Amino acid sequence: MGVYLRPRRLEEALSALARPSAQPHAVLAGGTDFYPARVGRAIDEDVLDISGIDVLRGITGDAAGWRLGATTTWSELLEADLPPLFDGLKQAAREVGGRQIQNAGTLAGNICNASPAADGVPGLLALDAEVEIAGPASRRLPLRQFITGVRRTALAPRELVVAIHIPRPRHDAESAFLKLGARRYLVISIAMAAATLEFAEGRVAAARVAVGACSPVAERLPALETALIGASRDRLADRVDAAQLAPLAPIDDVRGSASYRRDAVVTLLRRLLASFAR
Amino acid sequence: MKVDFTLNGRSVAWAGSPITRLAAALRCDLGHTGTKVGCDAGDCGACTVLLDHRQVCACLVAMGQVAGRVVETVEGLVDGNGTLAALQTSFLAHGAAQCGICTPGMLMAAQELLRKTERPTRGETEDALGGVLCRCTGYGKIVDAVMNATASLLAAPPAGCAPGAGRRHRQACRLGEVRRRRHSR
Amino acid sequence: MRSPHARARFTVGDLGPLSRRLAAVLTAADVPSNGFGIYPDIKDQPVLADGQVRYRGEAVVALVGEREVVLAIGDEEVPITWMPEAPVVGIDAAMAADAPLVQADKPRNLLLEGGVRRGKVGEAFATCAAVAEGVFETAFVEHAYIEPEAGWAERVGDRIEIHVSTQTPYMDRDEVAIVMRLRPEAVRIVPTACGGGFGGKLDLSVQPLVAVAAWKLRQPVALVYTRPESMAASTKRHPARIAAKFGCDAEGRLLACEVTASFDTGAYASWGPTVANRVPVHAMGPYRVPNVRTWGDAYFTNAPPSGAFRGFGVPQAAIAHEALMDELADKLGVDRLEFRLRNALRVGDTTATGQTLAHSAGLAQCLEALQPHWRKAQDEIAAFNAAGGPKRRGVGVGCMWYGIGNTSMSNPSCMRVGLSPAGTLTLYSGAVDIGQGSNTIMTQIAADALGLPAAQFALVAGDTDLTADAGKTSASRQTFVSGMAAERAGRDLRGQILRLANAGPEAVLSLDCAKLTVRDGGEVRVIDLATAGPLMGEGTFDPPTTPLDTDGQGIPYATYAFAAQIAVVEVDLELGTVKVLRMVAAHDVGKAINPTLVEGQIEGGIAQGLGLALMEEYLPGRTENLHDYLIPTIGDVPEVECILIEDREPLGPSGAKGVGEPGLVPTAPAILGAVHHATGVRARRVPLLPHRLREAIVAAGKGT
Repeated sequence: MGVYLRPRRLEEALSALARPSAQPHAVLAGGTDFYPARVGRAIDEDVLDISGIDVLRGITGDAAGWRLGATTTWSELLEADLPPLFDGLKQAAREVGGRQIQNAGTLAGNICNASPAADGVPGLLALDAEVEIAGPASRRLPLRQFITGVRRTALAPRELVVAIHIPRPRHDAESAFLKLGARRYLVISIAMAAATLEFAEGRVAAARVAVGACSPVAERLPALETALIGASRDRLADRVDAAQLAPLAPIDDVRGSASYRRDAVVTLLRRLLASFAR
Repeated sequence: MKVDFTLNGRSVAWAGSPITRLAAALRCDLGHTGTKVGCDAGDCGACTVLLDHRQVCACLVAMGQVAGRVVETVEGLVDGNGTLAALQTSFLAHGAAQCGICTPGMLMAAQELLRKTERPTRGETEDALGGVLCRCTGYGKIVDAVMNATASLLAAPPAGCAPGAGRRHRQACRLGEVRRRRHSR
Repeated sequence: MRSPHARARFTVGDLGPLSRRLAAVLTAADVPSNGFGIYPDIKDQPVLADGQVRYRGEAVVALVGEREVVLAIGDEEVPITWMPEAPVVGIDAAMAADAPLVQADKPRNLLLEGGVRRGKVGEAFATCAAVAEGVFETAFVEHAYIEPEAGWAERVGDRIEIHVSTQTPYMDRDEVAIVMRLRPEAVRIVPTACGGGFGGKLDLSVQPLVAVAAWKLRQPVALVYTRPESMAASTKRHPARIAAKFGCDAEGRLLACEVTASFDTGAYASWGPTVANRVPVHAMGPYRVPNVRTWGDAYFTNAPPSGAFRGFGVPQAAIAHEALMDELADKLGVDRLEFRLRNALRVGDTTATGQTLAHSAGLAQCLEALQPHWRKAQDEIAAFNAAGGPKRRGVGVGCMWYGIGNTSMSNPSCMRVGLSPAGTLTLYSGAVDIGQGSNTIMTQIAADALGLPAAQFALVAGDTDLTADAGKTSASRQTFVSGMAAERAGRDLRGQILRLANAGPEAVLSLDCAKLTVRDGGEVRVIDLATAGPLMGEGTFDPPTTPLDTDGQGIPYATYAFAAQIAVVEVDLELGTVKVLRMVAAHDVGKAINPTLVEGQIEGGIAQGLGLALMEEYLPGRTENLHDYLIPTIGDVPEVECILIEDREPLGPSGAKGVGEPGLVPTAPAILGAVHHATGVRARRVPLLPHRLREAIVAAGKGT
């Protein structure tokens, strides 16, 4: 049996991670990825349970933006009083697994597990999220640099994600999210799309659009974002073009074919953008 | 590790490895086998319990996280006299359990919902129970049972009647009747 | 420890180090008779593999010890040297001239073949005004019961007692006896509450392993499969390739039918012969077809054994015959439901096996009951589709028939009702309730026959030491077969009571503690059970069938269930997703002993049929969990309206037949027919995943 630590203070967690050891600690919070990866076998790793560290939870806002604590659950996000900027991320929260997963799974857990189909990543990319990391040195990294590949992140062995920061946009902003799956609940996406649009005088002043489950890491679509600038909010779907999907690299898997994903994403993006019409 | 917590309203002391799943502790150490394990991976919801009044998969909760918290399982739905909760009576009346393996999970998910909403809509019921898989029933009677869990207090099946009376059979169950059956929800 | 390879030879190294950590390490050498199988002459599946494995997930070595110790041992610690070989994948590879053999004694990898022949098919096709044909393919489908395989065994003297989740206690008993080289009487099977079966718990799973271990160690041993283990190791629905051709005259009357159904039976025979025997009898559909040639064959591959799964091949066959009914109807310009009504088998008709249906063939009533729903749906759909947009709706109808019980084979049931001297009234039912409610209805039936209230019955169920053999819970047979046995048992006990009381058949019984009161007209007799009892009534029933000859002629089943279901779907043309909006299901069940339980079977069957049509595909090695293998969730199954038709079957208890499998069979055909109505795309392969439907829509030029 390995060592199990459940510190109440972040410093204790970081000290534990800093100690020399034969194998890295497995970090545990909501358990929604930890336990499924260990079905039918004894758990003998060293475990660092961070669910008891108060400074890692909670959502706060100030002039600069919002801080989402690492162990914020999907349900806590849904219940938080947040502006329309967060509607897309909240919609993603509603479609993660089922209610049980939403009550336990955490935002940081989702990005650290770094599945290509992680439900929170497209929405967070579209929010220009930054990851705050504690360790021997504290640092912040844009989310698009934090996730480096399939189930790989830039997190070093002695580091912990402590929060996700969302900058306050310059203009009034709204967001939306669409998930495509083969059944209604408990579903891993075939493809998903998230968009945050900032509006000034009824036209798009800034756009951030991300697609997930269609590449090793969810990707922003800069060509589409550029095409949306200046568009009227009622005429956004027209701006979508298949050529803008170049950053994506979908694969064939049990859920769908690569060519289907490319085709479906165009539809998802058009519908996603059409949902901003008034 | 010693873990003291509240289980169905009573104080409980458990000791063991803190990484033990709550589902395993309930079933193997605490004699509460009402919580079922279908997958140990959070994919099926059979092990759904309430933790601090929120539904979670007990197979995904480490015992090290349970100290001082409130756990409710299906065993806690009956009252001190062993009388079934209205929700359970509603399941019986609607024929909402076939093999029964998902039933504890469905009941606990429904319990979370019904504490917030006495007469949930179909959409609210589906959202609340969406994380519990059932392979037997096709879900229809489960949804009926949850949406009418409080109304069913008025339509408890008469004693001696085979479970199959349902809320539309206010009279005693009569065998041998030809009946056209309509469902409207 | 199970094989990671679909096909391999292996040697086992020194188990000494491992054995010292455990109570026992078991290999093939520890199994007294290392072969089991459903059929008496096919015991082809080893309990523990012996030098070779034939499918990924096959059991190789059993590690027995304290739970935490066993769980801490990784597969890599078991000293096995693997020599993987190229597996035989799919029936084309199995049939190839140079195919390696999966079973050494089965040349061409053929398990068996056979069919039904009636009339002159070739000549008949030549006279048809319309002919429709197609090839339809289905995949492996996983039962996905929410309770995985589980059980434990204990040696009690010279007997072995096994508590296990099972659908068939007596078959388990007899199989374990063979494996353990014991007399059947030395084996006791006690069924536990079964968390779902659907046919997957008709084969041995944990039973022989816990029996061997408990026998050797002389202490209780338990085994619960993990979910990935359950999915990899257990039987599956047979993948099928069905080539079908139907022809009719200008009035839409079917004249000819030719169907070849080829099944992938996986690594071991399991229920393969049952599937291959049942399908040719059903493959023409529930219709009058005077000229028929149906053929079924089953091939071994290096895949999980295909076994019994709700419908035994008929769900796959129904996808084919219903698609072609639609095509013929469309070719003639006849309404699809009307076309089926014109051809529906009715009482007095003769089937393709030469059986005249004397009673209880209610398909026409089912279709007539659906007509108003059908017309209403068509009107609504036409209005919706006229509005344009990326979504289109459609309505489809699927029909089925299903022979109750084993095909041309004896499958008796014996039930007993006892009254003790203390006045305890007990039904001894060997019928396993796997959730369908047999415990309830057996009690209802016995109570009705005896004349005492159901609420006064105690129930002893399933334990082979305490109940008689009621046959397996399978083939939709328990209501019909065990139900009739229960009725006879109740009547037998009633007869004994009436003789004791010297009362007539109209007498009314009542039971209060040990006092049994018999009221016959003005006469009242009280029987003191303390002196008169115990009393035991017994009843048996075996459905009358006859074997089928080489042309499939004979009486394969004593009765058939009939049904028709309508599905209304909405297709998103751009995404290829299908939402089933509602189902209306009309089922001829003979008699609904318990309407709520009958509805439960229909609604549950529909959910599985929806999964078969739209989302369920088991891929060995790739979908060994419940998030990659998709079964319908609460948000996927629509409102279901059930219409229960009761065309009385005189052989059944109160006229009842069966409904367990019939609930599933028409659903996928109805949904696929509705998708065609909505999109013009005829699905030739299930599941119709979004990417497959979208590709077909684009290919047909129907994309927007």
